[in-house]
Amino acid sequence: MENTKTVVKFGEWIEAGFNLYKENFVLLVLANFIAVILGLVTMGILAGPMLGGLILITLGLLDKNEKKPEVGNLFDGFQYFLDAFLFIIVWGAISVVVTMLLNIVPCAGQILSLFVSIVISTLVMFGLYLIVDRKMSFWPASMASINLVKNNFFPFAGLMIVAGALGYIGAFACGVGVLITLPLTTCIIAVAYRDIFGKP
Amino acid sequence: MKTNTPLAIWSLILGIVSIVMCGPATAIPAVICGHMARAKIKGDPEKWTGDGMALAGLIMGYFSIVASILLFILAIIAAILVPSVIKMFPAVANSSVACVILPFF
Repeated sequence: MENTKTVVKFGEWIEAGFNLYKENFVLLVLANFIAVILGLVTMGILAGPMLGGLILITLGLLDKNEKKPEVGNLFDGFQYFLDAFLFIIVWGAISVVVTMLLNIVPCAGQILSLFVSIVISTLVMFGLYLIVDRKMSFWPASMASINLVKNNFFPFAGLMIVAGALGYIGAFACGVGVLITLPLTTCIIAVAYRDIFGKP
Repeated sequence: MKTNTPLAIWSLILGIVSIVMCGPATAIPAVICGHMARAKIKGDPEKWTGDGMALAGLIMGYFSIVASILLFILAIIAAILVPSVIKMFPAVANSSVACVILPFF
C-alpha cells in the first residue's frame, strides 16, 4: 500500500465525515470538550491519550459497532498512553521549534512557518489513528503515515487544509466554537483513514 | 474481564489536580499511587489493567514536583537578589515595578 498512489476521495470523505458528525453531534462534542479541557489543563501531557480516545469513539461510531461508544470510552485512549504521548510531544515539539526558528525571519518566515506546520500535520495525519486502531508503536505509526501521504502529498494536504479549516471555523465564535466544530476534523480524517487502511 | 485498578484512576486524578494547582501536595500522592498501581498490575496482569492511567499520573506527578522545586529555588534566588539590587541601584526603588515587588520583601 505504501508504494502505490492512494486516491484521495475528497468530496466523498468530507460528506461522509460531515454526516457522521451530524448523526452523533452530542456525543462527539461532549467527548471533544472533555478531551480539549483535560489536554489544556495538563499542558498537553494528556492531549495524546485524550485525542486517541476521541479517535476510538469516532471509529467505533463509523464502524457501527454492536456496542455504541459512550463518552466514557474517551479514557480507552490511556491503553496507548505512552505512544500517543510521544506522538504528540515529538511532532508538537518539532512543529514548535521549526515555527519559532522561521518566525525570526520577518514576513516570509511567518508564511514559511505556516507552510511547514501544514506539511508536518499532513504527513503524520494518520499516525495517531494507526496507534490506537492498529496498536502500532509511535515511530512505525508515524513512518507508515508519512510513507502513505508522501506519495500523493498535495491532495492529502488539500484534504488536511479543508478538514482543519472546517474544524477551526468555530474559532470565529470567540474561540469557544472550536469545542463544537473540532470533532468534524476528526470525523473527516477517520473516514479517510478507514477507507484507506480498512478494518484491522 | 480486566478492570482498571482504582489506584491508577486515583493517580491520574491526583496528577491532573497537581498540574492545575501546581502543588506537591497532590503530586506526591499521585506518584505513590502510580507506582503502587503499576506494581499491582504487574503482579496480576490477568485481573488488573490501567497501566496507561498510572503512567500518566506518574508523569504529571513528577513534572509537578520538579516544577515546584524549580519555582521554590527561583523564589529563594529572587528573595536574595532583589534587596541587593535595590541597595546597589536606589533609583530602582522608586520605579513602578519596585512598588509592586517590594511589599513582598
